[in-house]
Amino acid sequence: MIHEVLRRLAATVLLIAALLTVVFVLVHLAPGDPVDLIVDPDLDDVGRAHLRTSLGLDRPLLEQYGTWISGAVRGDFGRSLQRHRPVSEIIAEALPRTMLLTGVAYAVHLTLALLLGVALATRRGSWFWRGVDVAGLVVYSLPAFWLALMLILVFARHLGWLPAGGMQDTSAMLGAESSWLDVARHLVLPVFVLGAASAMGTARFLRTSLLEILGSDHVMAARARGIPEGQVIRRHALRNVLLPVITLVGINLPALLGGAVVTETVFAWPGMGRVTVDAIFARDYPVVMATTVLSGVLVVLANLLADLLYSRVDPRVRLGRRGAP
Amino acid sequence: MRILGFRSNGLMITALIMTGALVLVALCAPWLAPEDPRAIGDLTNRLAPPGVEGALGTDVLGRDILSRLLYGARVSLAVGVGSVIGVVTLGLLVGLAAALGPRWLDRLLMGLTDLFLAFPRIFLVLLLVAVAAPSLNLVVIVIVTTGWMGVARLVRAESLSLRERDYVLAAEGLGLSTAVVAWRHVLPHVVPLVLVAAALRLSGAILLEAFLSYLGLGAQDPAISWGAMVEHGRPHMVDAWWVSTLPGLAIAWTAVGCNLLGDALRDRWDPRRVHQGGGDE
Repeated sequence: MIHEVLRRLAATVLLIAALLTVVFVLVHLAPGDPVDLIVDPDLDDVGRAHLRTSLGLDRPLLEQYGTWISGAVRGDFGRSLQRHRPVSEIIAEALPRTMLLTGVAYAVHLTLALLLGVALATRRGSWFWRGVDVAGLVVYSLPAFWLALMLILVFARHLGWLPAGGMQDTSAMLGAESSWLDVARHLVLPVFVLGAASAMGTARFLRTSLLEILGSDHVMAARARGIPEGQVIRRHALRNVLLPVITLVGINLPALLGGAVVTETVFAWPGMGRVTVDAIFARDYPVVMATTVLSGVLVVLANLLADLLYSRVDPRVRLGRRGAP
Repeated sequence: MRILGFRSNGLMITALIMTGALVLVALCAPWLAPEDPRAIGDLTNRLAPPGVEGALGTDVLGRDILSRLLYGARVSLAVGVGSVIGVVTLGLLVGLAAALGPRWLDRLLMGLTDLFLAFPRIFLVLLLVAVAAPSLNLVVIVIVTTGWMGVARLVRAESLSLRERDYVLAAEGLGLSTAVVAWRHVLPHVVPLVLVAAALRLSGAILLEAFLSYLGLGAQDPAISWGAMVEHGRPHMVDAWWVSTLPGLAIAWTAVGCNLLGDALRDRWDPRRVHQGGGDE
């Protein structure tokens, strides 16, 4: 077991090194001069040369690569061209905000998905739940950025119940004190778009796994013993659903982080997604490189965690002995 | 094709009606559109509400929204279908090569797949868009390069199990080359699976195009994209709700139609459903 964990850790380190390399290659081997991306084309040659030197772009590519890797390992991603601050500082500010948003959204997502998934699997005959199924598919298919705009239009602009964007009221930003209630009010709409609207996708996945388990021998045996249906579902079926749920935690994280980009952009939530999109418009590529790598690292670590958990929960699975899926 | 049962059939019919209507609109846009979608109206016709000036109103430049919506279907479908074809082709090639090729190739390709899967897609998409000039072609390229991994894994897993079947072993035993075995004996059996995967990815590709165009990183001005239309209407959302709302509904219609189509195809072709006594074959 210990051996397998170490092997898995080594593979993770390798994967992260590869992530760093891919991002570097994509930015530096792309056609065109990075300087062209950053500044307006009218800049004279002296200005260009100065910029190249200050960015280290005049040095050999391999040396730049070395600087990038050794810096990244120490958490140093260079300086932002737009904000004139270390990238690590910007990320240290933005990451906790994204964690807050995605964390709350994820809790809502999983709770809703579990409830809906069980309901869809056990009440298949009812017209009401069939309606819920269809409505869920529609909500799940809505473009998130548009749904966010519509919610802002209705709940912020017309009804005035909730703030249209940001993380705090301007008064709270001026004063040092930020109240939790204020942040919570700003969280409602983004969390709905990020967590609740997508829950139907997960719920349908859970329904499929639940139906499979409900058709399995041990559930049939439990039913044959006369155990009430509710108890069969709770004790015999749901317990086995834990496994796909753990897998989902790993699978859904990239989607959730991606969704955070969309949600943060529309709601002006000052997290990683918003920072990335802003940096793209400012051609601030040290920031873009850093957030891309970091998002990948988060996913890799979450997958590692899910794998380790999986092997603990399911005795049939041992790390490193998985055949073709 | 045989009828599986009322529900799955109803699903298929709904899906075909929704997507069929869309294809029809995209093909016939020039005949259906009441106005030139790019014609800028005079000052008095700006932001006219639906019913007053044109059936669905006008945008901030006085352009007819209905006409723009009809033409927008073209961009949406072209990017969606184009990129999904690319995704499926690349995924098929990688999956078949990994499953049937030498072992080192399998390890290399699967390593690459894991690597690309490790990025949340949108970050990779944004990075790629950032280093090049935005255009619809770029959107397709970016969707393909960040979207092939799932299909590759699916094809590889299916091909690995097909590879053990007697008829494939027999074909290999006869001395047929790997390419011939892949093309004639494995590929045909992977196709249904891949079609389902393609249909299920269509809505994702269309939504991604819409979001990129909304950000201004996708379709550029003469091209008419629903995502860009949402963005154009955003500053006037409170006074003129229709400018942003209607293109969003069009995107939603498309995404729902594609998702339903994917579901319906899966119901028919997913091997597991067939084994559960679906009645097919």
